[in-house]
Amino acid sequence: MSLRPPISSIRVALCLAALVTAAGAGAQTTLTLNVNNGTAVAVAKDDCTRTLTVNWALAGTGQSGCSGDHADLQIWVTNNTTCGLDPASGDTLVGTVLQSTWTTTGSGSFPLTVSSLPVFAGGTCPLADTQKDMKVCGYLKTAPVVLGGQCQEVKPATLPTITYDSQAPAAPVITSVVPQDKALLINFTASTDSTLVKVAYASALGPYNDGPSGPAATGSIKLDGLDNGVTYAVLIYAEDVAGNQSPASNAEAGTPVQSYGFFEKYQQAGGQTQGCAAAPAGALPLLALVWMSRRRRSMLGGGRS
Amino acid sequence: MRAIRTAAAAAALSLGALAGPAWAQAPGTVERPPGEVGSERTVGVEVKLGGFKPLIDREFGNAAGAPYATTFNDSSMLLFEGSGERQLYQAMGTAGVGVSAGYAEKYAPAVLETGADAAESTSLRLVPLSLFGVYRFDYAAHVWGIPLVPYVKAGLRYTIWWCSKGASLESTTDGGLAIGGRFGWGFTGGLSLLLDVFEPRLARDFDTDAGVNHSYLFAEFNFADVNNFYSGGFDLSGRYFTFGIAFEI
Repeated sequence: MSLRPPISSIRVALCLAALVTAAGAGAQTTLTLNVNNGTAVAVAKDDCTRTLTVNWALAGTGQSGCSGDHADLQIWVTNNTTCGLDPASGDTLVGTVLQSTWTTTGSGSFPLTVSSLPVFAGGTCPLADTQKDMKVCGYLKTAPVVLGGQCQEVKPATLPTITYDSQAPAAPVITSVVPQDKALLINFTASTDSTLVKVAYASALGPYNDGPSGPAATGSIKLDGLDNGVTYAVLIYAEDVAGNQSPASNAEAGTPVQSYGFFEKYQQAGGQTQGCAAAPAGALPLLALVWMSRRRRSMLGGGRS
Repeated sequence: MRAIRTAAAAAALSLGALAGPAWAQAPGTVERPPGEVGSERTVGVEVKLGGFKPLIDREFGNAAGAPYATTFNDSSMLLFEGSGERQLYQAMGTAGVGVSAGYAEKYAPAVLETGADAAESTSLRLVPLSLFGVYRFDYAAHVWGIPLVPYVKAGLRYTIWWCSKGASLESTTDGGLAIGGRFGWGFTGGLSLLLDVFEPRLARDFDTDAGVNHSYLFAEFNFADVNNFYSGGFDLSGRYFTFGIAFEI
């Protein structure tokens, strides 16, 4: 009688071990976090009473909460660039999801008041001239359902960022003002944190008026609807993503000037075509078809052509 | 009115003459030249480029100071066109009907009262459309192996035009917009070079794999009178060459 186990028993044990390992390795739980359904949110000086929404979602198969430490999901906001396993001193705890409230999947949300963000730890909201990025963190441990599985760490793959920004961008600089027909083209440079520029303009007759606004990255913006021959002073402001407005740029002057395009020259030369005042270009073939069908009908009916 | 009738009648006759033989044949029973190999041909497509100078200044007798010459330095626009045609007759040559569409644009600085260049540009943009009949004498190419195919086209044209200054359409003196369309007619004469003769095996593979029977390079001369049948106003006529590549499928 041999002391070696039968070959068939070894095969069964190996198969079971492989299955257990595969179940443990393949069944990973993922944690997803976002703030206001995005991964980056900017809040400004005037947003102290604003409430953000931190959403969480756990998804996995064949997993449950680990019975040991970190069985519950903790979500917090930190001033640091990395999260660690627990909220550090000065971090803001957003909420805790008890292990008993979810099995293999779960989702929910927590409110987060701007004034409770860790950037204000030791101070009060608002803070002047401050720009700070904060990370939203989450951490828990899960265990495979199958026996003998090890608890696994679960962290979000992407950490949402909340930026508190009460720092106005630097004042943009108008590099040139190009006169156009009833318009001025304003070329400028703006700091990299500027997302928007706004134009203000004034003639000698009145105060500054609000002009158009446009993307800061374009480097130029057109101010139209002006009168030719009138000198206007123009200046621009930059805005960052949080809505902070920069000081005014340098003021520059420009005078719109009449110019003539090709069709104006054509008409000045006595050209007969007037363009399209009433019927758009696309309607002309239809008008022709109508004319041809009416003509055919009148010819068949012996009417006047 | 008389000119319009004459032009319309001529265009109709040209289309009718080309399409006429096809009406006598049932679809799928197109007679083919003896000796032609490959799958059945039914469609032709082509793309082409050329320099197009509209005869706008003809309205002003091409006098000094006429608007196109002074604005665009009397130079041509780059015209890109594509067309497709349905072949209806194949025996002593190939006849069919087709449509084409193109695009051309020309930019120049607008001018100030002093005559100096302004900071903003002005443009003339055209979209020429055409409905035409075509006849290609390809019998010699398919039967005798001479790789040159002369052809003619004739048909009606409609060209949409618009002018802009800066980023906006120009305004007209009556408060409208500088956009419109002009009708006309035109014909084309051209010569195609059958490329199959240079690589017959590749050509057969192209037919077997993609259904492209024949490939051509071509050059053609276009005569177009697009001025609402000589009724005055914007004259988008032209006399110009185009060059391109064509496929029969």
